[in-house]
Amino acid sequence: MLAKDRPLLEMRGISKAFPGVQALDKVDLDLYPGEVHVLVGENGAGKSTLMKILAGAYERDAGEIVIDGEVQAHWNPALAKAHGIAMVYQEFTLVPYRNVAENIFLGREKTRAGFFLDKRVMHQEAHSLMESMGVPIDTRLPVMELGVAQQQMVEIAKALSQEARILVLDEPTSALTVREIEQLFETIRRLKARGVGIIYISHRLEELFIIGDRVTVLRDGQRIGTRRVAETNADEVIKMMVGREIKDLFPRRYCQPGEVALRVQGLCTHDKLRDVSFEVRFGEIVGLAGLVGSGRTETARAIFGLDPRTAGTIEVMGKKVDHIDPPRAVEMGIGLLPEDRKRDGIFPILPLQTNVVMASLKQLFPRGILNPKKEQLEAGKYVKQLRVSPPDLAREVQYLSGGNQQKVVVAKWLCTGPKIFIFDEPTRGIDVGAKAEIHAFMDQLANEGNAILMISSELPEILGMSDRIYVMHEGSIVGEFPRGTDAEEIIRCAMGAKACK
Amino acid sequence: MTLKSFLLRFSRLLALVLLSMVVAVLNPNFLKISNLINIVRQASPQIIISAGMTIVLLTGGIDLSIGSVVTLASIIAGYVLTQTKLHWSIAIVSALGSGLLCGLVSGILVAKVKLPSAIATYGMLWVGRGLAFAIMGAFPYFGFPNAFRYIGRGILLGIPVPIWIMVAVALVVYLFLKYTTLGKSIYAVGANPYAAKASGLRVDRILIYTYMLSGLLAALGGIILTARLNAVDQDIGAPFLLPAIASPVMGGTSMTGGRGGIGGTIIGTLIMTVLVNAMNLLRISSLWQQFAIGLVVVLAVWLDMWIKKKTA
Repeated sequence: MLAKDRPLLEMRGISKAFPGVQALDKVDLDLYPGEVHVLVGENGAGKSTLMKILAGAYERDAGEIVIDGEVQAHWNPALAKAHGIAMVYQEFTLVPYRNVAENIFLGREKTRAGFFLDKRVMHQEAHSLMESMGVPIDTRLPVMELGVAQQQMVEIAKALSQEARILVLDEPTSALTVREIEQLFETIRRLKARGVGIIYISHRLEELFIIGDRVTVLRDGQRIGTRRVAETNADEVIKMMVGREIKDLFPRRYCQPGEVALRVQGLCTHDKLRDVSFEVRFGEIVGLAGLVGSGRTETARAIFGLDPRTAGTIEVMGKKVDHIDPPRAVEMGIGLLPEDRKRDGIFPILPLQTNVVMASLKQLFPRGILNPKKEQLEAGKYVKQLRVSPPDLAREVQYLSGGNQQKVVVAKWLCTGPKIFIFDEPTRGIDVGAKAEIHAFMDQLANEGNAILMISSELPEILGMSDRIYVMHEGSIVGEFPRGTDAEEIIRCAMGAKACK
Repeated sequence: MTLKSFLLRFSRLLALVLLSMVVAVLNPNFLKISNLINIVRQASPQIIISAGMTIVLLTGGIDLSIGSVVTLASIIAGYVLTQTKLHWSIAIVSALGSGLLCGLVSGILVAKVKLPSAIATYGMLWVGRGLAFAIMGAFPYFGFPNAFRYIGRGILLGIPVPIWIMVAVALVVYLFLKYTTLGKSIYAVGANPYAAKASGLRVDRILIYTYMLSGLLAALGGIILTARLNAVDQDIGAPFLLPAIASPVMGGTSMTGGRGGIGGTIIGTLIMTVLVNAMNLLRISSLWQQFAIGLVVVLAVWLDMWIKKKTA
């Protein structure tokens, strides 16, 4: 048995500066065997930087890394790996068309006679590994045929197969459904029992209290404090994170809806949607709930003309729209904040200001000639309004934190002056502070008379923000609920239980 | 501007200056005005052709048909000039038109048929070449009217006409990329084609325009070349393809798209031209010249990366 009283890992006084920012300022973090240490903080607080230093991807300016009580003189990715540190990032590193076993042993394939792949042994070991985590997945399946949650399990299995003792999970639940999260937690509990130490980064406070043993809060590159989870509560953690109290997580006050802005009838696409009908009025926030894969995102994409529809009508402000593609949608005043911000939202290597004006080039510069002053002015306006930080218009967007990238995408759409907003998972992977800001902003947009369709996998967000709620299940709308419906009813409907109205 | 940001911004220019200084020390003739003008004149067609490639690279694509388009446009110009009684300006218009057409086809193949750009333009490479051969047959065209040859040999205000054309093209492309919405859209498509589509940009059209521009500029390069040589044969264009890829990349244009510009391409081309010129001045055997070019291309990019890393 490992010495429970000696930390597996200590990071002492870690500092790191980037040009213009002190990303970390003398941060301490320790981790004991069999412990889940939750790391929270707003976007840009320094969590990722700290973890990248731990992984050896960044060099630290000051401070020391101590493993099993020994100060490490040298530190790099290979050493981190050799000491059993493994990272599971939000973005998976799996090879989609290779099978589970091949992925787990990628680059460390088991061989016979040093050359021929020993598939039998690889599958056996992979299988028992998955079994030990409590997720028996067929190791012969290509990874691309697995769900997101299963892929994550494979990612974790891969880390474990490398004898990981210190596992860093970065936002592991951001793409998972309720049931999958439960499964992940079960796996985490098994790992704890084996003495693995887990650093768990999350934006979801409720998870902290379910799975965490201790929590460390970072803010602006500093460690604000570390608490035993049993001895703290959500209010305290939020206060530590934002340095101010957030009274109102969901600011929505119901207001009077106006004319119909968007009416969808009998919408079908060839593979996913079946007879989707709903409407959104001006001044209204309509929530679209449902499990992952129920067709919510596909609905948004079909309305915006990103995917072709095979049947059904779309009416925008009372007018039927025969053919719709994204340029037409933008012209008609529809803005789509996409679910996958990195893929469909931002231009990572372009400067902030260019990102902001990219959807409204035609409106801003109808003659095709760019006016840099006007570009800066427009971008600056929204950057200020949304409090994008840092407000450096020339900075490439890839260097902003997730929450600020999301604000940039919001700014891009505001710039087009739309009347109808589709927000697909507007606050996924975003910290509490930025979340509250985006919620307040959505509320303001609706109060100003805009129509908002909000897709979300977070039930509290759906319940807290929506004036009306539609629930989708397997490609169809299966229920419509007024504000104030309780959570249980919506979950039941989303899971496909009959008779919801 | 601090020294650091200056270095970052002009690291490639520094490589060119460094190279020139070394050559000047070895052979003072290098710095003679006439020699310098000669270098720029020699580089001009390549710069114009590379400018088109730069734009394609910015979208994340590549145009392998460039060499063939140069050939095709040159041969069409030669055909009109020697085999018909049409005015020489018709030769220019039809040559440019053939470039635009090739670009249009490549662009449609990339944007609408969704072929990888390397495949689409590789097909165009052979089609353009085959077409050029079919038009010309076995006998080169030569002996063009003086008015046409002025494009390649003329001198205006003491500066050769090709340089004037090159400067005009560089300026237009610079302004186009920096100050037009289409130019910005080209960067956006290269930076993230999915986000470009989801932002309501007409990605198809943007790509088609891009390849048409590339074809147009290749044709223009071909016209200058034809006018200068006063003859055109089947091999006139092919040698321009690889330098057209190398010079933008040496100049900092990313092959994955979204990053770069015309300034770097000019410097990249000049580095190679200066090198060849220097080796001729220094009487280095042409056997070793290619070896040296390879070395310098790699060194120039390495120096740039090294400076970036040191100053970052």
